[in-house]
Formats: sequence, C-alpha cells, structure tokens
Amino acid sequence: MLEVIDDYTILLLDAQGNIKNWNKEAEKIIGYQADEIIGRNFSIFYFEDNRMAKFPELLIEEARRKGRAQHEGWRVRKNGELYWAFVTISAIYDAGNVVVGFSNFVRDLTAKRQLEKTTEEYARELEIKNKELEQFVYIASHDLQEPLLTVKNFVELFKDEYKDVFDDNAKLYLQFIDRSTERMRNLLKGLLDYARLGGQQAKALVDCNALMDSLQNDLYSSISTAGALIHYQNLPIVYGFETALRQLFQNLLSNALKFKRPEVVPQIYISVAGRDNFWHFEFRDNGIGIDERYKEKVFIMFQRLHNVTDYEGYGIGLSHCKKIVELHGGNIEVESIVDEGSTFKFSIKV
Amino acid sequence: MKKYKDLDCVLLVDDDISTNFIHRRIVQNAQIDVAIKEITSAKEALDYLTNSGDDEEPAPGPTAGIVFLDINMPGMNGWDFIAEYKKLDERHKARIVVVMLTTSLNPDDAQHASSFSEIATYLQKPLNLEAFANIADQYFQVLKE
Repeated sequence: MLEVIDDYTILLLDAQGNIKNWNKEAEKIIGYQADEIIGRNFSIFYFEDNRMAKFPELLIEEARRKGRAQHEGWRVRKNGELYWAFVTISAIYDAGNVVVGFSNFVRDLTAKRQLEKTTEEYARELEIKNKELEQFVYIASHDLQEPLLTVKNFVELFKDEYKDVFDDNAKLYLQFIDRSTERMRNLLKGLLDYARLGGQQAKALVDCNALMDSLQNDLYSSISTAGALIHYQNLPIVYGFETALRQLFQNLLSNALKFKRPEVVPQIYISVAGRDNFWHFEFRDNGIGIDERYKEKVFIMFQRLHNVTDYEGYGIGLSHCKKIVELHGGNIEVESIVDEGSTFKFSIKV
Repeated sequence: MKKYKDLDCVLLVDDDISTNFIHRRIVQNAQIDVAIKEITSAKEALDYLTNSGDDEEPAPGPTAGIVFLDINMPGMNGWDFIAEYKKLDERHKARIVVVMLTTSLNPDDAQHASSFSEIATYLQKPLNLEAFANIADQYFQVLKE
C-alpha cells in the first residue's frame, strides 16, 4: 500500500497523529530518516506558529469528524527548508466504525508553486507597468492640454482685442500658432483615446451587419461626396467591445474613402471568413494603395505617409485599429499595390 | 551681405510649413547672400538635388549648398532620405552639406546621425542664427565679407 508515485508519499498516522511508518519518498521530500521520525507527531512538519495555533490538531480533528481534511501550504523540511505541500488526511476506521488512525497523503508541489509564483509576479509586474503606462499617457495627454489651452485662449484674446493693429505678417503668425495648437490638441486627444480604448466597457454580441448599416448612415455625406460603393453581406455577429469595433470599422471605412484615387469610383468590399476560431475580415478598396516599405509603419501612432496639405490627418486611426484588433485577440495587416488599392486584413477571436 | 564660395542655396526640408517659415527667417537674418528653397517632403528634396545638379537638364534653381533636413516626416523620413541620398551620383552630392534637424530629445538619434558620413551635423530645432552662421563658416569659404 505504501508505494511512492513521483513526489507523493502516503504516511500512516495513529489516532493522535503520531507517525507509524516512513518511506523513501517521505525521506526525500521531508528529509528525516525512519528511525528519527517514527513515533513523532506529524505536527513536526509544520511551522512553529502553525503548531502554536494548533493547526495540525485542527486538521486531524476535521478528518476525524468529516472523514477527510485537505490543506495546501508551506511546510518545513528537516534542514529547515520550506516545501509547498498539498496534504490530504483521511480517517481509517475499524470494524466498529471507530477512527483508529489516519492516512496522510502528502504531495510536494514546491516546483509548481514556484512557477505559479513567478507567473503571478510576472503578471503583477505587467499589470503595474500597464497602469504606469496608462497613467503616463493620461498625464501626457491631459496635463499637456492645459498650457496648450492657455496658448489658445490668449491667441483668441489677441485676435479680439488687437485685430485692428495687426498687419498681415502678425495675422500670419497667429494663424501658424492657431494651426499648431489645434494640431497638438488633436494629437493629444488621439493619445488619450488610445489609452482608453476598450477600457471600461463590457463585451457584448455585436451584429456587424447592423454596425455597417448604421455606419453607412453616419458617414452618409462622405460616402456620397466620394460617390463610393460599399459591398458587404452576411457579416457575422461577433463577441466584443461594441464602441471599439465601431471605431475599427469606421476608421477603415473612412480611410478607404479618404485615400481614394482621383477620377476612380471608390469600391469597398467587406468580406469575412470563419476559421480556426477566428473571424477573418477583409476590407478591400481600390484606392491609392500603400508603398510596400510603409506597410508596418502605417500602424504606428502618429506615423503618416502623406503631407498634411495632401491628406489631412494625425496618424492616429490605424494605430487605434491595431489596438482594437489586439484587444479582440487578433492581428491586423495590410496588403497593397500602389495605384490599385489596399486590403486590410484583421482577425477577431470568435 | 556675406558671400560664400559654393554656398548659393539653402534647402529647407520639413513637412511643417511653419517650421520652414521660421527657418527661412533665420537664414534671411544671417545677412548671407544665399537663395532659400523650402521643400515639404524628402522625396521632392531628392528630386530637387538630382535635377538641379544635372548638366543635361536645365537646373530649376541654384545647387543646394546646405540642406537642413527634418527627421520626422510623413512617408519618407529623414533617415530614409539619407539612405537614398547615399546612393546618389557623386556629382549631385558635391559641395552639399547635410544638417539634420530634429525636435527629438532622444540621444539615440544623435548617435545614429553621427554614424552617417553623409550627415555633417545634427542640431536641435529650431535652427538659430548662430548655428547657421557657424555651419556656413565651417564648411564654406568666404568670398566677400
């Protein structure tokens, strides 16, 4: 009966918890030789403060009452080292149903425990770092807005109160200041929005057909201005953050409308395939396309491919898309041919 | 007005119009006889350099003597420009001094810039009068005080 499996050992205790047998595995885990431990109470494995709190007795008592008691915690080896033990104490009865002793099943889970601890610590560190980063972005975007707002306010005052004495040069300077503060305000807002993406919301079932229908409504004027044709059918219902998904779809759609080729009717095809536990979406357009070497760069915050004078923007949309897709366990990438069009491919976990 | 040998043009390469505007002012205030050309993308700057130095085609403007180059530009950035500039025919690069300008506070950028022989020096934005005068003095010969 007293066979050893891996880091398990089964010991027999008498009705008071004194050790009645000892084996090789017990020796390996706990460190004592048979002759120095048999007859001693099993409470010797416990910390002194555990013993003072009568913890071993309570376990025995529980096993006596319920037939079984389990506990997981640190124990002390003979050499003073600690080991993490998972212990099951089961009552042994005689023919008259009287408890005559206990079997003490001990499993040494130190290695597993340490691994868990490392993982836990790693997760906690990551959580702290993420918090710091969020805090950092919040400070950057919020606190930097304030002096910026001051600049903006005083420029307004300048314009109101001194407009009669300004020459053309002065007006030009104010225009530069105005444009720059407005641009910075938008960049900071983009940063703050990025940090907040998917933050407070709960996941829900999102019908992508309904989402696209309502987006078409919202974007009606830019769609009709561009004369764009948007094709989609049978889009799935996905489980995700609704506001974020809406933003993802909207950004991809607006980009396709914005980066259209002149004199070419914009055609946007949205298709989906489900495989390997993911929805694989494709947004295909016939726009200006993206040069091969900028395929990665477009997803980085504030990175732009065009001058503001050619295409307005802040380099924010696709970085948001990337974060949103990653929030949904997926990836986003783009395939493109310059002057033919781009296909944005992203996946969302089912 | 001071005049330097081979310093006929200063090329300002920055996607931000207001930065080019400020830099034009600074170059103008330096009392140096030089043309100023503002260009808002690295691609156009390369085109300008290759065309203006080509003997077979009529030069659109004077050959650049100093190029002030922004790092952070949309699409082709300052580093991409340098990579392309490297490949240019020597005659397009002759007597050209490339100065990298940046708002970056990252010391890695300065380090990176110093690894290119094509980059004469690396300066924090905005350009100032003294820095500009120093570069002219350092790389060009005075013809007329």
